[in-house]
Amino acid sequence: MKTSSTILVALITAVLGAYGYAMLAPAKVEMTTEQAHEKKPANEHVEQDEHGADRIRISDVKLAAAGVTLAEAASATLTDTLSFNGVLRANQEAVVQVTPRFPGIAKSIRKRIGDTVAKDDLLASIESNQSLTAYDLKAPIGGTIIDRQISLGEYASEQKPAFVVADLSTIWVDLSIYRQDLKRVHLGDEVLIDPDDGRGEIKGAISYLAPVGVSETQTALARVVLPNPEGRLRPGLFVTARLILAARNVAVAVRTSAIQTLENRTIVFVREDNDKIEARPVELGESDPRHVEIKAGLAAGERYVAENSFVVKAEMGKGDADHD
Amino acid sequence: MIERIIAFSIRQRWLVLLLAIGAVAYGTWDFQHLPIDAVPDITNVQVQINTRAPGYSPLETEQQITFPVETAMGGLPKLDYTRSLSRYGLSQVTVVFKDGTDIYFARQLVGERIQQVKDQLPAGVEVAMGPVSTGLGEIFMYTVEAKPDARTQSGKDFSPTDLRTVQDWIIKPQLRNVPGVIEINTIGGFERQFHVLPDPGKLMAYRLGFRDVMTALAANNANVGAGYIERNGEQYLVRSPGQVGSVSEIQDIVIGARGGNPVRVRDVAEVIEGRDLRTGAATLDGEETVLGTAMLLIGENSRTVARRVAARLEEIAKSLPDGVVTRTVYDRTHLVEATIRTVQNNLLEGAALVVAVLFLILGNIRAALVTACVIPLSMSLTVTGMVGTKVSANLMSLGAIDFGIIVDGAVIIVENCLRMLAEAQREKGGLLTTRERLRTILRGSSEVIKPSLFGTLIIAVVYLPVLTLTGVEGKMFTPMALTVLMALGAAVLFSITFVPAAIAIFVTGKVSETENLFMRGAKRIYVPLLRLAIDNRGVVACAAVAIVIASGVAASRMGGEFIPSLDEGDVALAAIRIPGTSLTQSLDLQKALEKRIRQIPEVKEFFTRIGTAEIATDPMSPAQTDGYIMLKPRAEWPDPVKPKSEVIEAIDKAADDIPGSNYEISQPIQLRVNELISGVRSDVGIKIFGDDLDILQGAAKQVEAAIRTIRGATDVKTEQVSGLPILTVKLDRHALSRYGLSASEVQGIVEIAVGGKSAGKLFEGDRRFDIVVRLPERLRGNLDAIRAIPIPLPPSEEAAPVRTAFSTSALTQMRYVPLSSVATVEATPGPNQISRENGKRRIVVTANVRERDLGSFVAEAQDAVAQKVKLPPGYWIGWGGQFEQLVSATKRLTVVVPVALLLVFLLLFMSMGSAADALLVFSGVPLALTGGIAALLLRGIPLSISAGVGFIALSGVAVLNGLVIIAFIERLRSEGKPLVEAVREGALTRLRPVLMTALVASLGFVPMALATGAGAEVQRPLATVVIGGIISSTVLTLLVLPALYVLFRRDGARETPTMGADLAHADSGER
Repeated sequence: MKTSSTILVALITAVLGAYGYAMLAPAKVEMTTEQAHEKKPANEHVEQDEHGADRIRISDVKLAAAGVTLAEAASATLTDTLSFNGVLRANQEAVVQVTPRFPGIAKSIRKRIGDTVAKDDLLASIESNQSLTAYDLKAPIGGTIIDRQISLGEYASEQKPAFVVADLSTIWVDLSIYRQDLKRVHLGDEVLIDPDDGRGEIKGAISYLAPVGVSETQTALARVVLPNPEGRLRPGLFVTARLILAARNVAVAVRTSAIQTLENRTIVFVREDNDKIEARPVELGESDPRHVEIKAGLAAGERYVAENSFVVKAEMGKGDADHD
Repeated sequence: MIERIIAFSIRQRWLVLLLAIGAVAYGTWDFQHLPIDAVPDITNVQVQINTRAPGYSPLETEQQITFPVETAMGGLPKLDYTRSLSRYGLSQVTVVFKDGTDIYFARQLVGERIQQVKDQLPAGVEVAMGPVSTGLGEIFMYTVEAKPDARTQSGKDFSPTDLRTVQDWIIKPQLRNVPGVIEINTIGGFERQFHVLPDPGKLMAYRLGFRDVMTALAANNANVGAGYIERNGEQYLVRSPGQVGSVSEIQDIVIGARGGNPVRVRDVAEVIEGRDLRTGAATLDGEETVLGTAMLLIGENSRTVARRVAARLEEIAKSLPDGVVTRTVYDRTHLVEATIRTVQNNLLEGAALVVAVLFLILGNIRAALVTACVIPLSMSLTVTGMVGTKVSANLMSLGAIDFGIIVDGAVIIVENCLRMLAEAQREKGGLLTTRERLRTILRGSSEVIKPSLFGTLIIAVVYLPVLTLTGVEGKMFTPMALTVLMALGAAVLFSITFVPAAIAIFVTGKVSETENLFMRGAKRIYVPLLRLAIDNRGVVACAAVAIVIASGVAASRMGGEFIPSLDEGDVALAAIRIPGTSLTQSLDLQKALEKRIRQIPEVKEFFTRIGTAEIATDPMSPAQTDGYIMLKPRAEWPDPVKPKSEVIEAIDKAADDIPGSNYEISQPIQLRVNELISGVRSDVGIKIFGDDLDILQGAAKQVEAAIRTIRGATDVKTEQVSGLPILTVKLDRHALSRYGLSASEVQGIVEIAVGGKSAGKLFEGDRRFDIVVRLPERLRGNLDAIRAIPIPLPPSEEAAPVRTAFSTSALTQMRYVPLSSVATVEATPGPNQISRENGKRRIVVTANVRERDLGSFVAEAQDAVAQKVKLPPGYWIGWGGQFEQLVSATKRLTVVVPVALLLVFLLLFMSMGSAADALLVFSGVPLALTGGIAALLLRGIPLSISAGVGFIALSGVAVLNGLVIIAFIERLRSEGKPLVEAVREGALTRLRPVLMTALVASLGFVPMALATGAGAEVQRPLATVVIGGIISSTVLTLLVLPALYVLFRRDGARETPTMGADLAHADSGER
């Protein structure tokens, strides 16, 4: 009885152990199978060479499926534009303020604002306070009356211009150039002026670059003189201007959409043999809206990822991507 | 007491019958209220607090929103922990309460705290609690589409904005009123907005700022009520409407006057109908779409509500604009119904088999039917109990019910009554009078009621350990154990009331008592085998021990899984892209992916959510997508018998053709539930807490390196917290001071310029749309444009703009500077998201463990981390992950399982009165387990908790069988029979009841083991274990147990049998 009981107890204990194990063991591995989903091993597809450049292998078919296109690095002509705000001003060299020589009372006024006058046209007659005789105020140049500060019977002072006559056949476009752009603006550069009246841009050239800056706005002035035959340009209105920077030929350029950053480096994805793509660090030069000059890192003739380059970056980095 | 109940039941048999019918009726009625779903809801009690902060980067979100909200939630009663996520424009704080907390109570607490903290939050952010729903809440999804030839009223194609407007203002308000729907979540399309795009140049010309535009918009867009006046006895209400109603009315708003001329919005700005800066999008089969999701209120019946939603959607179709249609893309009803069908078939077929077996062995159709009646009766009572205890009906809770086990008690009673009736008839030589019959039935029932109750009790006790499980396992299996216990309880109740009553009413005629062919055949085989076993008892005992040990070893080598995952029929394909992927890029990749996947012939539809929906129940960045691949019904597949795994493989392969994404394949419900439980989903999670993100990341790298080298570590990963490109506009304070600008002025302009700012709403009836002031696209679209954003300078003292035309001081009018002259704009990688737990920033390194046990791995990892990782002060490491649950479950079960077994043993001891006998009976358990393990091995099913529950049920049945035999042998020996003869006779006599219970219990599970319908995979292991185990247990109880008995009880001292004698006596009549 004693021995049999002992044996039985031993048997039961063993079985209890097995039972407990059977109950608990599965929980150990289970989660791995369930949670791991179909996750791929991280980053196995990215390899590094001795220079630390990342490479992945990706087939043309896959690239095409994601809308990735390749292009060949080549020389290009960069033409960029700069935009400025400007204001139309009367040509200050053709603006004359007509001031009475003697103070007196305006006896008659002949011209109003906006009237076109020829040289020596009568503007007004003023009775001098000193001589009590009327004298004529005449237009010193041909042009348009753009301001009048005198009315009939009013006391006209020699301190104050009575008329402003401006010749509006030419107009100044004063552009403010921010200092970071100054180095790119030169006398004679072509400028397209848009008066924003729906009638298109007017071509002009920079004829003056101010030697002094404006302290308040920290800008410098560039001026374009435009002819104004139909009176389309009205002083006082704001315009925008585009400066066409001198075209420049560069030896190697890629499309702007090819540039990506990877781990704080600027890179271009370069297609290599055997379906490989390398993330090649490059040094950028000048650029325009379509192309970027590559100063170092890429040779002409190499094939690079031109459009949808982000997909390649995503493919390279996807091992790190996480879902939560 | 029990006898009195039986006597009463027999006396008032019609009343009892009526009550029983009442119970069925009540249960049927209650069934309407029973929440039915495919799987148990394992979501914890949590309240999400989503705060929208338009324009905020992760850092600002964390500092200004997440932190105050999170801090406010500290110290809530029943709080388990908080965790939070700060993303672009969104802060999500998840407050997790202890299991069992009432969700509405929890929400109220959270709501109160939100009220308190609201003042500390920046103006303009919206705090909202997530819907009262769970991981299973997304029951219905539909898309809003326009037919190809459909045109809007103005004759244009329907734009995504138009469709979104239809969803927001026609469909959603109506669907939200469907009972049981808590929320309609929308993603995709664009919200309609009115955009005021001021031209900075023009603003400057009029000497106006953005602020003036905003103020003017706000001041010219309101209705007021002005009370009433009385006039000649009538009352006139006074109101003054002033809201704008169209683009042209916005254009006509006056901002100011210059020289007597009004300056209108149209003079300085363009006003257009535009699109919002959205955070998410949706696609269907490679095209953009608008996706609506109906969310189920907690505790509602998903099937009913999904049906209601579908019906309402059909009604709504009539009110949609011509050419706009909704398409249902996901409907939980299908899955639930398929699952219910599986469960129903299993239960019905099981019940039919049970009835057949009963009839075969009892030989009396009426008695068999009476016994079978216990099945629907106890089921309806169980349903009532489930409704009462809020246990939902699903695969798990209904899956473990074996009608064979349930009717065991009733079988014993019916059988004994039949025997007594037959005996009485034979004695009397004719039919009995009603009175005699009733008395016989009472005697027959009372005689066996105790053993019958005892057997049920043992089965019930072995389910107790399951009730102690907590966490996910607890939520999965506690309902199952509860349901089984309720069913067993109901069965007991009916076997002492209904069964005697029904026998009294229905079993009236002649009761025959002959042994049928089946039993005779079984005996013919059994007798020689038994003799052989007893003669070679030593060998048999050794063989038994060997088999037990062998299967123990086999079990430890078997593959395992947690819970066999339910095949939902559909596939979820989550695509994950690198942080910083833009929504447009993500959309393009997703469209390509969907078009590729659609080429797979089995795929019906593929729709995807990208980024975050309107209600951020699942805050994803644009780089993350949840895709749902709906498969066609099998009949429409080119090869209808193709296994689903092959289709999934094809999907996986096809997805790989589209580069740029990582893919995770799972299933819709699984995906959602995982996201909600979240925390850490790997085996081991090492959480590093601290303040500085860079230090945290550095520490995480060290930890990762330390863990990687440990044997067994796989999938070691650091949480992706950085890598989001952030454009930082860094103000140069010197430059600002020179221009006389304040930082906030510049920031305000950057905010308006790039993100836009809301300046009121435009009403169209109920519909309301934001009016947003923002810079025109050409001035905000790219890096150069942002650098050139014009910053207006404060007016100079001697300003005289009228004179500028001819003044000599040129350029005084150019009073603005580009942003780049007061700030540097640079793109740098920044934090992608900031996770916090319990109020502290954290970063998690996760690892899975393969081919090694978790405990030792964690110990080694902790050692390695302690040695190799040096943390600055204020930083610490916490260990978590699934291993936590595993450890707690292991601890619990290592205590509870032996306790339960001890309890069973005590029960046996009570009944046998002898430890040795009790142990002998107990030895049936390991013997039964061997069969279960063998069956699993044969079918290639891995161990799982489902299988574990099967083993539990098995132990109960095995003990019962052993008890029946041993008790009878004891009784024979006490009558003075020699040992071997007693054993032989006892075993032979008990062959019939043992075979019967075994057949009933195992056949009841056969349909479940063989089923292939939806949900079958969850029940299969359980059923397989029980069937295999019962076969082995039966064989072993019939052969090994007698042998063991002879071996160990050669000349043992006799003890007085107590209840065992009763049982044996009761069963002796079977001969």
